[in-house]
Amino acid sequence: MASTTAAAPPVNEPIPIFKVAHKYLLYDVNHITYLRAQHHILGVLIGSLPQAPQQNVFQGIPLELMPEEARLLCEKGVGYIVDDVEAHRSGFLGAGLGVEERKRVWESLRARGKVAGEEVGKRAEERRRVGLERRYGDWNDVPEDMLTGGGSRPGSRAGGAGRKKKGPRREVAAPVVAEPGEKKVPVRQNNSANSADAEHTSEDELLFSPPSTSDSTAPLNPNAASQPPPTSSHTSTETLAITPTTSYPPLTAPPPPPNPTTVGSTGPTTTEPTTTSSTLPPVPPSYPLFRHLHENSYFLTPGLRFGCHYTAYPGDPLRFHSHFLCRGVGWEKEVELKELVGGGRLGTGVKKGFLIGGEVGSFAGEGEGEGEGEDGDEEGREVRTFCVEWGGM
Amino acid sequence: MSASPSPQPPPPQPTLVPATESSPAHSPANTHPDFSLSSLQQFIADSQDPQKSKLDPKPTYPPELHHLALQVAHNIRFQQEWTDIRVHYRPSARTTAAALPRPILSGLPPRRLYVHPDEQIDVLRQQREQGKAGWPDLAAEREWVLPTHLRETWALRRFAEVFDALATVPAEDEGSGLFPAPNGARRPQQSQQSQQQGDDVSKWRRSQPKRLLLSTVDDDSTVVYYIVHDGIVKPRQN
Repeated sequence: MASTTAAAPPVNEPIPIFKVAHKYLLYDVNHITYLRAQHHILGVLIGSLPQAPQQNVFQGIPLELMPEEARLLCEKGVGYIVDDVEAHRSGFLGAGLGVEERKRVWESLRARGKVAGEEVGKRAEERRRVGLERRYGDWNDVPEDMLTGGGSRPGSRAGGAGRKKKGPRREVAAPVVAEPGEKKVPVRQNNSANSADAEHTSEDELLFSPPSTSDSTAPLNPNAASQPPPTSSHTSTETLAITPTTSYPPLTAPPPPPNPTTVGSTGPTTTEPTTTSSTLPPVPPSYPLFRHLHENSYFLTPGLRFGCHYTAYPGDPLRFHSHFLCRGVGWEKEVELKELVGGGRLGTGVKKGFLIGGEVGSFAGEGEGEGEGEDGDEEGREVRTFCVEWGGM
Repeated sequence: MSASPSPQPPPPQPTLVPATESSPAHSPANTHPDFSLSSLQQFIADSQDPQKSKLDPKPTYPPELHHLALQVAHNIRFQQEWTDIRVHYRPSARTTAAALPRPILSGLPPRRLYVHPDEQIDVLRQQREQGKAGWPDLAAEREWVLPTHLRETWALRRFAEVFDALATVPAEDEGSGLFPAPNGARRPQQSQQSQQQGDDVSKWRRSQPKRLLLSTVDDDSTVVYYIVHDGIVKPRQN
């Protein structure tokens, strides 16, 4: 991380924080690096290989921010919240596209789906052919030209000869197709000439694919027409549903007006995708402790692995061991002494301190809803912390 | 974690001493020598005896808090071998607090209880400069001891109240002695200490936030001790 900061391109504040399903995500690696280096906001990388998430040792982008982190960035004016769903709806599906344009988008999507479907069908056909050849050698003991009425060649049944025949057979088949008047027949025959064993395989392959309509493909699909015609005439033209994963040019969200005190205000000044940087992210009651420790230049990560709210590091966690297991409680919240003893014992066992703290005068007990509603006077309230270590006796 | 804490949990009633001690003047130990009290029971019974008790004023605290302090005092004296144990009923003179929430103890552990990591580095550096090896015998420091019972619950506010009523180090003339220091046992050590520091209180102690020893008693008379700092203090490298 640190090595990339030098070469990283400059990052313009405020940084958009994307809110998707109540999670706060960052997708830009430069933003992630910048926040880590300049504002010691860590977040958690959650990106994994979709096919094999269990193989991931290290996760990649996107980065998920704790609500506390997102709130802190918003309060400092470093970031602003973009409601991803809303921004997408208004910016892409809404006024951005005309009827004509939308129709064209759908059209192109369908065309791409057709192409993809044909690809899949072709590959399945190829697999089937290769498999049959491997199993039965030259499975097609019917002479290629038998049905065309040409010269009766004796079919070779030698298994070993099958591979050698592969090349010549194609060459034979090609002129057959080219023969006028009988275009359809040999092609169909070539397909249906499968042995009884092969019939099952082809049924399996085609079980869920729509009936082959190879003729109707061409007019609907100009792209496919421009491609070289499929070598195998058997094309299951299954139209796949294409989900666009990228958009070009990328949607840009204009940041709200730079007003650090009222970051929550929306700034829909342009007709561009409006950023619904609405209210500040709701945070748990332990947020004052988070903010206090962050102000004291600690790096904070989620504390689940130690059964606490946060784990506090005196520097970047890549370089330092953590110092504290942090537990944020309300000022009047009654805490069992067992928790202090257990936390202190665990903390000492892992060479850390157990830190319990909260905002002076805050009444929010833990788990009693969000500590919201007093955003204005919450600022600048004193936070007191107590560190617990084993006494050694 | 209870979702909805009751507004005011009933104050704990640690049953430290059997009901017989309610009449201390006629302690069973006096009338029936066969029926012997434990050392702790005898200690608490004696402390209530006006003739035997060495505690100066009649404390205004509930008896269970007083007994709690006495039980912890007994433990640190005879199990942990602390000396010069005193009980404090009033806030330290150097603070502005009105009252102590409960009796607080102070005592002198047999060896240094807590060494801040920075001080540890400093001591090791001094050792190396002086060409010595190993860890020196640091002078013990007086510690505050806060007696609690495991069945209590504490809020941050109450810890803050206690810390606000305590000075960094107990003053020499405060509190009433429960177990006075054995004569001459402490003074030479202290003079050696004050030679180096020029003061009773080391600069490390003064520069760091206040600390106390949280002693938690369970019903089976187990007592555990945890150091609590009034602020962010980095952990020891033990």
